[in-house]
Amino acid sequence: MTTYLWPGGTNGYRYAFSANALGTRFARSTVSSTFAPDFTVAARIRGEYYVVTMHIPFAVLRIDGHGAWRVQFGRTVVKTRSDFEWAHSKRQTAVDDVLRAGYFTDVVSSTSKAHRAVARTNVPAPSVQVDGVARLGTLAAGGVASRLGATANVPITQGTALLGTIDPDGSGIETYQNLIAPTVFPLPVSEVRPFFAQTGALFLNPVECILCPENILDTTTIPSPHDAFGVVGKEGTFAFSGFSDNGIARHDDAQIVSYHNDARSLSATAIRTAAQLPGATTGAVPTGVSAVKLRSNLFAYATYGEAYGTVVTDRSRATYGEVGAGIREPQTFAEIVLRQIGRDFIAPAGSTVVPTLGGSGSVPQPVARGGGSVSTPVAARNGSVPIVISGLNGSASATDIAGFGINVNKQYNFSPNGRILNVTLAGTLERYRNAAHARNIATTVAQIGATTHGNVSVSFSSGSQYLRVPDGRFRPFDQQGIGIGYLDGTATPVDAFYSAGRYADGFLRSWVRRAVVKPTTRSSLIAEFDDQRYRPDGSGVRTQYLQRVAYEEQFPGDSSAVIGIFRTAGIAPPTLGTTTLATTGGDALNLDTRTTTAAAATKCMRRSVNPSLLATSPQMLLKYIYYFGPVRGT
Amino acid sequence: MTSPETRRRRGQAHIVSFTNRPLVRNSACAIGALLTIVSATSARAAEPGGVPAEAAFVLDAPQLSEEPNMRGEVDASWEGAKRLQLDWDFAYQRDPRDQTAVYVAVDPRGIDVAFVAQADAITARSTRTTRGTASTTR
Repeated sequence: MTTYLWPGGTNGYRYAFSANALGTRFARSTVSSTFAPDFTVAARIRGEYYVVTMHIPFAVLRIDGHGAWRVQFGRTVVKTRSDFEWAHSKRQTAVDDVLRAGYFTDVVSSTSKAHRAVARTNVPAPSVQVDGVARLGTLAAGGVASRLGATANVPITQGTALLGTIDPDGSGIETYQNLIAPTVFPLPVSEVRPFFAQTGALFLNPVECILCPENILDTTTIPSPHDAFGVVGKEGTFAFSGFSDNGIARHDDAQIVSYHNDARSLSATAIRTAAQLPGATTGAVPTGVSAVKLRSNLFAYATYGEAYGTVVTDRSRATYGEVGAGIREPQTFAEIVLRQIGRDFIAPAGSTVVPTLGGSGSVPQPVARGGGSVSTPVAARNGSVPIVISGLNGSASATDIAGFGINVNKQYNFSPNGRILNVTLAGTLERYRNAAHARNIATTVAQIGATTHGNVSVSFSSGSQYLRVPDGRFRPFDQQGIGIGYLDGTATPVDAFYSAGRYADGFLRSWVRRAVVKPTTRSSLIAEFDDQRYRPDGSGVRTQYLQRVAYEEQFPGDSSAVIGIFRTAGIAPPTLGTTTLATTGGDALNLDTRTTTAAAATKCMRRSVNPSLLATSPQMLLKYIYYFGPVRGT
Repeated sequence: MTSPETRRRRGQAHIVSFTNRPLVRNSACAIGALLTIVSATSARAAEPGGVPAEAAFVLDAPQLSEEPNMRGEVDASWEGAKRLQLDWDFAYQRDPRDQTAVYVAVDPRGIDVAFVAQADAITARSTRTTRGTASTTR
């Protein structure tokens, strides 16, 4: 069950508060990617119905006295892939489509003394997060070390806040669990440093984009600075963010201003990013405009940008431009893009990659849903299981391209009572050439998936994919795939994927096998066994394995513990987009444990070993967070 | 999320004053002109905060003097809450198979929502939030 709120209207911050029949709760908000407020949930199962009650405090919301709020109520039934909702419209593109949400009036009553106090308190209280991290390890792991840092958020209006941070923790300890015990609800973003989680949020998908190659700013690539200052906010139809940080031999700064009209039919965004490193300066200035015809959900957009700095050796090849158009409806989208990215267009702390859609990879998820729909066939969720052992099923870095892309997706939802719940068809076509007019990317992929009433999902994909590799040749990276899953989209999925095809200068076969079971109500057992068998032309088979088993337990009082064994072994196939063979392999075994305890204004995490590394020396990390004022991203 | 590659090329130092770059000036002018046009257009749109007369889903927040009980049941403390129905299945574009009633109210400290869901088989499994910490279950 989910309550969606937009206290600031259609252009205000979005909040979603969810809970299931067991009382499990979670929340999301555009205020911050680390939004995790305290709100009360209680649930009770009574025979053939259940009740979920929730209390959402005003204190965790940004209330600007805007007037009518927007509101939506929804219920997702995973078994039948249904999405029940209160407010609905023929042109609705998603359950949480703010333009088609309901209106919530007089929430803050003028006749209530307590509410008048809420209305007067137009500026939220400031908050400070102090965190300390201690490392206990062998001398090879760095021995004993500790650090202390702090992040402050000082609202100056209802919608705008100043932020500052000193020595923020960059260990990423919060993200490690997804490697050891991946969950059906993974962290939506990798950035967990509060300062960048808030200042960087607006840079995620800042401009309209189809088969998007450009990541303008990925704050996770910015090393934790010594200090940083920023501002983030929403005022009326404008949203903005900016920050400047100072690290070791590095300085980054970025600004973004975005405009949406009240009907959200027109938008414009301007961005600037820059970085100064020893001997080098880089920067990029992309600008985008887009328009949507609300009655028909047709859209069109244009984006243009330039890069500058020492990385630019030819200004004529430092530009980025694209125009796109299409239609987005609840179960259908079709879009086309014309795109040019110059060789020297490099956004600081960003990336330019062209999503490649190899066999066991992704069915494009309906853009209208922003991905993640429980109706999406199992192949589309393959990306939620990180394939650590190679770059397969990911994307290839590609600048110096000019061409077009076409992306179509159609989902047929039949009946929640039928044997087949839905069928999804998808196709992608991309053709790009470089400045020498030589083809450097050619992708042709078709995919089909289906979900049955018994919660079995199957998917097939077939296609060709050619990339120009560094030595100048045009090589295939095909992977014809089949996947099957049971209870996908639940907390206990069991699935398997197989893919095979010509790959670089050989042939690659891949298996992904995953299962999650719940021995008790509050525990989970996760197992995954993957392998990739690559046979170079004229040579023997090389195999790489990924194996992990993890057990996690939850305890009363918002505490949890997980222990896992994670092993990679063998020789990796060539990285996607290259033909280079690895000459040596490895066999790395990690034992990882993590405990998390969250009291009213504290959070404590302990874990041993860094699971993101293939080989580590024994070590333990202890992180303690104390919050002054509103906690965890509110 | 795929880790991005970071490229560094060494070349002749190219110090640029950002504000003097023609692109920036032109972009700023273009954006300013666009925003002026759009602002003039949006001035004719619905006034921010207002409810259009044709709006089909409008909920006037019922006010309670105190927070109702949060015990997984809709008891007498919820009297006065507004009752809604989730009467559309977005996925299948039809009436929902199961009934779901929603009770909504506002108290001095926040918003209260109760979902009463009919289900012939309850298959909830997840007890873990996105943050990896346990949730309150009563």
